[in-house]
Amino acid sequence: MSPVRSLQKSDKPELAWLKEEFKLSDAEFKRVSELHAAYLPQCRDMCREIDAQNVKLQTLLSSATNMTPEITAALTETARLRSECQSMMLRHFFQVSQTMPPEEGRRYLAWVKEKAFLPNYDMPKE
Amino acid sequence: MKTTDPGSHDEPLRKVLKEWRSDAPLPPRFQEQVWQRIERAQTQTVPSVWAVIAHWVGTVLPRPALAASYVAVLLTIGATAAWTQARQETARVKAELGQRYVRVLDPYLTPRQSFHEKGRAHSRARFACGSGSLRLHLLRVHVARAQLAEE
Repeated sequence: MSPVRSLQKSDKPELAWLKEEFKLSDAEFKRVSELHAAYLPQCRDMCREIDAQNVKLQTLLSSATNMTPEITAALTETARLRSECQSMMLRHFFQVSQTMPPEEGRRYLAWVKEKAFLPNYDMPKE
Repeated sequence: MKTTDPGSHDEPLRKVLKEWRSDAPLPPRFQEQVWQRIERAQTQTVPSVWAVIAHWVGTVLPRPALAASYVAVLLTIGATAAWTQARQETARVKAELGQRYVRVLDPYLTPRQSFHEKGRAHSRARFACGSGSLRLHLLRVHVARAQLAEE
């Protein structure tokens, strides 16, 4: 089986990819997998909060014709959630990078920042 | 000049064959049997597919070295194309897996139902609940009617 096929067939392809791409040893990969597993529940909680906040904001916006204190508060909360989410992600990325060999850690951080923190992050692609 | 007559170099044999006479009678249907044997021998020597191909290559491509060169060039082109395609496919899959890694970790990129999809799903759920209630109500009416009829 080709290396790419074995990556795709693995239990967690994205982690298998990470191991290969950043040349992680088995011990490093174990630590990264633990960090990954610990992060995912936080990520899911954050997803739920974001979804609930989006529903709240959309409900307020659907009937609004003027700016109201409730809409302002909902927008502030949405922004706060986004900031919290990005802080949480960045903390995770730093932790993961610190488990890698220094050079690979730097490469990982550069790559992941580009993917998740570009200026046009989350904007529609043309 | 060479001759195709097989007996041309064997003059003594020809002479003996000319002088040879046999008074022994031929077995019955001798000539017919000889022709049958000839036919059988001819049908058994149908050339194999490989022999036909080899013959074709030998006649159509009278320069095997050149033909081998053609085949080698074609094989090289094919192998290079396959290798390039495999490299592109590998790069594509790796890029996808990288994207997937980020999507798994980023709540804003994690695929999930949008607000509008959720609204539709909610409407579908309500409709399903409503139709379920209606069915239950119709069932109750039916049972009540049956009880009244029994009474």
